[in-house]
Amino acid sequence: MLKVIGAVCVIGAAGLMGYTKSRSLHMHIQQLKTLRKICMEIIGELTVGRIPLYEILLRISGKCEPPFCDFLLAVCEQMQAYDGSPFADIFSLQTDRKLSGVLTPEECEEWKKAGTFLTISDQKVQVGLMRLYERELEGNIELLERGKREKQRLYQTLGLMGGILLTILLL
Amino acid sequence: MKREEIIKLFAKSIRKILEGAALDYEQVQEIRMRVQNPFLIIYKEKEYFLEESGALTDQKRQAHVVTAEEVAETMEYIAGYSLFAYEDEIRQGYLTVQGGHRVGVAGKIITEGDKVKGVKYISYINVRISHEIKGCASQVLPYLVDGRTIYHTLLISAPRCGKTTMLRDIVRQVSDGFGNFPGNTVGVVDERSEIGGSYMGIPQNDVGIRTDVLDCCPKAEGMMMLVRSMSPAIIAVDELGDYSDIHAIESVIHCGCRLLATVHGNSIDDIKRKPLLQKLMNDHTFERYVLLQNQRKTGQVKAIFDERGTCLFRDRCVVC
Repeated sequence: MLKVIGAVCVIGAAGLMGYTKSRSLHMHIQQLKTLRKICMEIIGELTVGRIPLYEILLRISGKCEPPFCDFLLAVCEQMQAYDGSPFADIFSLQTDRKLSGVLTPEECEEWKKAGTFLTISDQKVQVGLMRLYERELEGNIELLERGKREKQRLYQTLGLMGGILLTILLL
Repeated sequence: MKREEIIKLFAKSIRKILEGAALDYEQVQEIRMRVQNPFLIIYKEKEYFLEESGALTDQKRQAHVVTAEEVAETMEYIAGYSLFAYEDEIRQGYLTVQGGHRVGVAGKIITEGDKVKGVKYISYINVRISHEIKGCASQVLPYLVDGRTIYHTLLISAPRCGKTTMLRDIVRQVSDGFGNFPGNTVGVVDERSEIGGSYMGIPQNDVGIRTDVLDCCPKAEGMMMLVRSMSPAIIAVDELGDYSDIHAIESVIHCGCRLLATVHGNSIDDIKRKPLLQKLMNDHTFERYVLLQNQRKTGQVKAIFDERGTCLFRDRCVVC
C-alpha cells in the first residue's frame, strides 16, 4: 500500500513539474506580449505628442501589471531623483533588478538596448528604432507560439514519463 | 524647496559647487554655463563667478571652468532625459522646467532653408530663475481696477525686470479678489509655462482660485480656446510676439474679455515704434500701460499711463 502511495506521489510530483514547465512557457509568452504592448504604447506616446519620457513611462505604468509596472515606476523614480546616472544606466539597472526573473538574459539585453533608443533626440530615428525592436519582439513571440503546443506536450509527457521511470527504478 | 529644484537641474560636479555655495535662491536671478568659460551667477542683481568650493568671487581666474560634458549632462537633466520632447522649444532657444524656470540655450544652429530646424552641440545654458513674489502687484492694482473688473493692461519692460512675476501676481489677485474687488474668472495662456510653472498640467505657482491655465499652448490659439470653452472675464498672456497674437487680442476684446499682456520694451515710445503694436496703440486698445524697470530692484514700477498717454503714476527717482 505504502509503495502505491509512494509511486503515485513520485509520478504526481514529476507530472506537476512537467506541467509547471509548460505553464512557465505560456507565462513567458504572455510576459513578452506585455512587453510588446508597452513598446507599442511608448511608440504611440512618442508619435502623438512631445511628452517627456518620465510622463510617458508613468502613464504606461498605470496600465500594466507587475513586474512591468514596478519596473516602469522604479525607472521613473530614479529619473526624478536626478542622481547623476545617464538614462541608459537607469534603464539597465532597473531591468536587472525587476525583469531578470521574467525575461531571459538575451531578452534583457535586447530590452536594455531598446532603452537606449528612448533618449535619442531625433524623434524619427527614435520611433524607427523602437518600431524595429517591437517587430523583432513580435517575431520572437511568433516563434515561441509556433513551437508552444509541441513543447508544452513534451514537457508534460516528459514529466509523467520521468515520474513513471523513477517509480520503476525505485520499486 | 527651490534650492533642491534648481540644483538638481545641473550636472553632478556643478551640483557640488552649488551645494557648497551659501545662496539665498530667492535672490538668484540667473545661472550661466558657457563651455570653457567661468561658471557665472547673477545674484542680488550682481554678477559673480563661482569657485570649486562654491564661494562667490569676482576673480575670473579662481572660477570653475565649465566643460562640454557638464553642459551635456546638465541638458539631459533639464530636459528630463527627453530632449526630443522639447524640440520645438529648443528651436526657439529656450525651454521651461518644473517651477517655471526658463532655460535659454545656444549652440550650433541647424537650418533648413531659411528656418531654424534645431540646435545642436548646445554649449551655452542660461537658467533664469522664476520668482513668485506674492503682493508685488499690490502697488499697481489700484490703477488697473475698473469697477468690478480691470482695464485692458499692457506690462512693458526690458528682460529681467520682472514682467512675468508682476503678471502672475496680478492674475492671482484679480482671481482671488482683494479688498472690495471681487474675484474674477481668469484664463491664462501660458505658452512657456512661466506664469503657472505647470507640471503635468498643474500650476506650481499660485495663480488664484478662479484661474484656468492653458499650459504650453500657442497664445493666439489659446486665447480663442479660452473664450470658447472657459468663459473667462480676464485673459492673461505673456510676451506678445507676432501678428497672430495681435489678431487674437482683437477678437478677445470684442468678446468682452479684459486683457492682461506683457511685451518687451523700454518705454512707451519703444512700443509705439514697434509695427506689431502700432495699431493697438493707435486704436487705444490698451487702457493702462505699466512700465517696469530694475534699477533698484527687479519688478520696480517706473510709470503707469492711461490710453491717452497721461501719466497716472511715476517713480519719484525716475524721470519718465
